[in-house]
Amino acid sequence: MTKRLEITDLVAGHKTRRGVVQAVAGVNLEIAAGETLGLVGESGCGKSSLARAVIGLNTPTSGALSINGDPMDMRRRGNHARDIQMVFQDPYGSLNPRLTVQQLVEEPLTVHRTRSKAERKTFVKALLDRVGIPEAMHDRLPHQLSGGQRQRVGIARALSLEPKILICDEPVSALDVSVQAQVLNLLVELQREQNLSYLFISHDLEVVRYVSHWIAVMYLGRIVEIGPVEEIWSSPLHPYTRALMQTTGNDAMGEGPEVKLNSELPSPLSPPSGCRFRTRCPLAIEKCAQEVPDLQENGKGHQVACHRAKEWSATVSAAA
Amino acid sequence: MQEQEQGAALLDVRKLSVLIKQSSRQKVRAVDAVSFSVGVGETLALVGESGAGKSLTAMAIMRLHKAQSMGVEADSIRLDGQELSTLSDREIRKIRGSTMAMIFQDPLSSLNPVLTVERQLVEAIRLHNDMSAAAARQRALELLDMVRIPAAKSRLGEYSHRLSGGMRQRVMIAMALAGNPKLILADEPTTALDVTISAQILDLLRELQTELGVGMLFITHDLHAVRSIAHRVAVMYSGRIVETGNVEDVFSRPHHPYTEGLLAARPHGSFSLDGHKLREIPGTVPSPADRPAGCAFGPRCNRSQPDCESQPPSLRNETGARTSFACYHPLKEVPA
Ligand SMILES: Nc1ncnc2c1ncn2[C@@H]1O[C@H](COP(=O)(O)OP(=O)(O)O)[C@@H](O)[C@H]1O
Ligand SMILES: Nc1ncnc2c1ncn2[C@@H]1O[C@H](COP(=O)(O)OP(=O)(O)O)[C@@H](O)[C@H]1O
Ligand code: SF4
Ligand code: SF4
Ligand SMILES: [Mg+2]
Ligand SMILES: [Mg+2]
Repeated sequence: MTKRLEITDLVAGHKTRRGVVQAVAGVNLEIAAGETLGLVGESGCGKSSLARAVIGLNTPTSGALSINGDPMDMRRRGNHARDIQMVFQDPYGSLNPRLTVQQLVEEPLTVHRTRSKAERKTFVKALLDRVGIPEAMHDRLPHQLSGGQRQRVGIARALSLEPKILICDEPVSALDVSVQAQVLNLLVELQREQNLSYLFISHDLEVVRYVSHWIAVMYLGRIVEIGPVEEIWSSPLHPYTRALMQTTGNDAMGEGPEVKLNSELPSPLSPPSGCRFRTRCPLAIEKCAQEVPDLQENGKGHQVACHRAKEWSATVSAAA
Repeated sequence: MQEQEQGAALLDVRKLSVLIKQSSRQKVRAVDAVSFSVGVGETLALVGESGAGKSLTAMAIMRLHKAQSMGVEADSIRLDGQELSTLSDREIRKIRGSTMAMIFQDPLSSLNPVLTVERQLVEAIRLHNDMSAAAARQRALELLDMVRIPAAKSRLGEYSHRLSGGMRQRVMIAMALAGNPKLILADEPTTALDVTISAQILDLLRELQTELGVGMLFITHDLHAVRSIAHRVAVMYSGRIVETGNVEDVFSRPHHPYTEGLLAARPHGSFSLDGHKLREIPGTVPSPADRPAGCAFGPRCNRSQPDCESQPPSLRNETGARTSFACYHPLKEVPA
């Protein structure tokens, strides 16, 4: 089956005074129509760099993207530009403070010259209504809205061009718990209604578990584990994933290594040789410094990049 | 000694309010008559969403609130047997950093960027202890070891902005320990950190708390952090404490509709597998100026009745309930 979005061998970097940071170091991902791929990892591991390269805010160094099997030119996106839209963490920073709610949602339509003026107005009204912004607020400016309302406007704006794919970069991280639930419910409802595909980035594992069909775990620019949501939740195999899961108090992760992290992410300017996680991995052996582990299939689409995962994959999965 | 320590209140706060001047005439009660206590060797978590009044509560106890625009009222604030509310600013300054110390969310704003870690620690140590410079330097190193900074010696000459977020927070904790405090007020010390680093800092605080037997007021909006570090919890909503009790009791059998709603709003499980929606709490937290009469949670509450609008419910302990709560129509204990 063709995937809605396919990301192949994506490499993306940032030039800094101290050299080039290879923030995305060869990533392959795919998302099916109507499904969510959740992307987790510590801050600085490259999640936003990946998102920005996919949406076209940064030009990748190399790699390919395709939508519904149709390859996309990374530099001149043409018709595909509309198909992928982004929802940001901080709706305040991403919304023009001088435009009203109604103008903010209409702007992308005007830029792309979609629909007649009258049609645009009706469409925008219906869209704002759908995301739960009452008509009385359509003439307000962003600073006159609460954080949750601003995020609803951000979502409406992203949906105005009727995209197929939404990249959501920490969309609820800045919101209070009670408001997070409102926005998460809205996102999953919209997905079902419009058969949208999401790349959903968050550092909050329980949020990712809730919204995702698949989960990918990123470490220093690389995907170290990926699989269906319950596989990753109940049988995490990579030591790093197990360490992350431990912080949520997840006690259903099968019999495998208990990994506690007691150091921080090394500098991405000079990533460790071999397995990038080895400097923090309590299970590292000599091979880990010499050979880069590739993602290996472990059944049900569950893939893990660790030289030693085979040693505990049977006991971990047995419990599930 | 041990017996005496058990249960003795280290900090006891009665009816603390913080009033913010809006204009020459108008004042709003951002914190409205909160009462709580922290025992020796105990951690009390103050939990609530942003704007609940958690930080102002801590700042008022430390007397670090903005005195030009804010006023503090309290029947009593007792720390280690001493009444703080009647002390002069000068007297409070002596207690601040020694008997009680504070840890903030953003260590960068409270660490001095032009001084090395060693200089700052030594200054803090000598401010509160009669020590030679050499002894203070030795103590600085001990403190860095105590907060589990690897290769502590090599860190002494560093500047705070060169440290990672987690290391900075450790230095901040070392600074707070410099005066051998009996009470630590920690205001969202892990909020700005990654989950992996946050877990390390929580472990450290928990270990230090047991090791040193200090009391801790731990402020957070993170329910996970509460579970992992606190003995008791007080849930704040719009300037008031709405429910309090042992963490286990409050989390497993909440009586206040807000507590229950907050716990249920957190994701648990997978929508793609079972299609369950998260429980929403409609609307948003009111600002102190727009706080409704009666129960502040009323407009968002699914159990509210006309009598909820009459007067704010006060915190009470109903027979049979394990927690204290401020609600006219609390959730009842579910029979086992
Ligand atoms: N504009 C930029 N210029 C230089 N370095 C950057 C830039 N954006 C991100 N980086 C670096 O790239 C790495 C990955 O960052 P990012 O993609 O933001 O991670 P995440 O979103 O997972 O926190 C980090 O080391 C970060 O410092
Ligand atoms: N310096 C200030 N000036 C005016 N209002 C303030 C100030 N600090 C806090 N407030 C208000 O007081 C209320 C409580 O704030 P705070 O104690 O910081 O909440 P929390 O720490 O629970 O997020 C909020 O409504 C906030 O807007
Ligand atoms: S490959 Fe080696 S260092 Fe990397 S996660 Fe596996 S055991 Fe640890
Ligand atoms: S007092 Fe009334 S409005 Fe307030 S929480 Fe209880 S039931 Fe709800
Ligand atoms: Mg990011
Ligand atoms: Mg605060």
